[in-house]
Amino acid sequence: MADKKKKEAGYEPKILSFCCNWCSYAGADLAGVSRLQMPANFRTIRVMCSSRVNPVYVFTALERGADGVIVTGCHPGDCHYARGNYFTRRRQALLEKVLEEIGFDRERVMLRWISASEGPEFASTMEEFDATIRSKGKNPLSEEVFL
Amino acid sequence: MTATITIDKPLDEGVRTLLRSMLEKGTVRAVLTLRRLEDGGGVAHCLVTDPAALAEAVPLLPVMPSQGGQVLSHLTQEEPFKEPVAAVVRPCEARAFVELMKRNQAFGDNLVLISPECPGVFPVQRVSGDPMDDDIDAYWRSTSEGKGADGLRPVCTGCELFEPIGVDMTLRLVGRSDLDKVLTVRLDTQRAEDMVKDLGLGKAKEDGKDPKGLEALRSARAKGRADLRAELDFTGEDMAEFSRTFGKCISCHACSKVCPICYCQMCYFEARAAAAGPAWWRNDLKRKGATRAPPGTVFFHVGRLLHMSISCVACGMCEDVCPVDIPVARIFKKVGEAAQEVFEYVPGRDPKEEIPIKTFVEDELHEVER
Repeated sequence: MADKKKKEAGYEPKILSFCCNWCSYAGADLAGVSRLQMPANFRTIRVMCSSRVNPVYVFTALERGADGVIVTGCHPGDCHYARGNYFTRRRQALLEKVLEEIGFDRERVMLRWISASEGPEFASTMEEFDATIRSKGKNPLSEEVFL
Repeated sequence: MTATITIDKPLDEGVRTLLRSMLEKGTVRAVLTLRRLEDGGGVAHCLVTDPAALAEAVPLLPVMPSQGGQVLSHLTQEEPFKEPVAAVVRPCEARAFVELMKRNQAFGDNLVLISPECPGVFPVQRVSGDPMDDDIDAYWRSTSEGKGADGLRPVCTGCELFEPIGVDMTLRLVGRSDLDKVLTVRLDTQRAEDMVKDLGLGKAKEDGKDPKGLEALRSARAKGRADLRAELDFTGEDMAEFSRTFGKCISCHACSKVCPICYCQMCYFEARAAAAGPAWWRNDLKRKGATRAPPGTVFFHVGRLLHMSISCVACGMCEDVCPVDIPVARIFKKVGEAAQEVFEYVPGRDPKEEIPIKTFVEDELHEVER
C-alpha cells in the first residue's frame, strides 16, 4: 500500500493519441512549431483516417497500461475521405457504451475534432484531457494481473 | 389479415407432414430440419431431399445443437440455393441468418424460412443420452398455457423476440389449447401462400385472434428479461466484477466457435495471443510484477463484445458450450442490447437495414464529440 502511494505521488499519466494524418496530426505539428505549451505525456500514433482506429485498438491500449486514449479527426464534413469521421463517431459511441456496460470508466476515452489549422485547440485539448486523466489517477487495469 | 392453414396433426408430426408434402409435390427441392441420428446418436441439423428420411425429423425438439443461422450460412456461403429449400429454424436462428447475409456470409435466395413461435430451448447438454420425454410433455403443456417451461436456457427466459420476424411461415404454438391435436401455420408471405395452395393440406383461412396465452408469454418474457438484467451488475469504474466473472475463462474460445455472428475464419484475438512475444512479457512484468499466461483472457471477451455485440441475437449457444459456466449469453445479451439501443438497431429485423457501424447519419451522436 505504501508502495502504491509512493508510485502515485510521482504519477505521470500515460496518454495515447490517435491523430488523423490530414487534420489533427498537422494540428499537433502546428501546436509544436508554434511552441505552444502542453503536457509532454502523450504519445501519438498517426493514422490515415480516424476511422482507421478499431475500438479494439483503444481497449488494447487501456489494457496495456495507457491511462487515457484520445482519438482525434477532422470536423464532420471535412474528412479527407469525405465520410470517414462519421464512422469514427459511430465506433466511439459503440466503444463508450460497451465500456460503460462492462463497468469501465468511459471518460478515459475521448473523441475530439481538430483541424490542421487548430494548433491552439490541439494544445488545449491535450491540457484538458491530461487534467481529466490526472484527476482520475492511474488506470486500474494497468496493474491487473488476470486480464 | 394474413392467412393460416391448419394441419390435422400436432407439433413435430404436423411439421413433418408439411415438409413431406412440400418435398413430394416438388414445391421445394430440400428441407433443412433437426433430425435424430440413428441409434441414439443425438440430434443434428440435416438437409433432406428424400421424404422417407423425414421420419426421423424432429423439427420442434426444444434443443439447439448448432445455430441454424450458422448452418444456413455454411450451406449458402459460396452460392445461393439454386432451387427452393425450406428450413425450419427458430426466430433467433433466422435473425442470425439475416445478420450473416449482411456480412456477405450467406445468400437468402430460394430459401423458405419456417419458424415457430419459440417457447425456448433446453441446454444442448440434454441431447446426449437423456431422453427428455417427461420434460418435453411439460414443455408443450406450459407452451399451450402461455407459460415458460422450466429448465430452459437462461437466456431464453428473457427473450422478447420469440415471435419470428421476416419469415415465410410462422408455426403458431404459444397459448394454443389445440396444440396436441392440430398444427396452425400462418403464411406470412405471398410465396408461402402460393406454395401451400397446391399441397392439399386444406384451405387457407383468415388468421384468427391471438390467443390469450401469447400475450401472457410476452409479459412473462418481459419480466424475465428485467430479472436477467438485474442479476448482472457490472457498474463501476475498474471493471472489477467483469474481470472476476471472465477471470474463470479457460480460453477454449468455444463461445466464439458456436457464435453465429463470429464468422471470421481466423479470429483476431487468437492471432493476437499467439503473437505475444518476449517484449510483451517484459512490458507486462515491469508494470505488474506478474502476468497471466497466455495473455488476453478477459480481453478476448471485451474484444468480442466490441466486434459482434451490435449483432448479437442472444441465441444462447455460447453459454451452453462454456465449460466453466460463465453466464456468457446473458452478459452478451445485456451489453449487446445496450449497444443496439444506441443505434435503435434490432439484429435480424430487416435484411435491408445496414449494420450500424457500416453506416451513419450526419447529424447524430453529438454526446460522444466531447
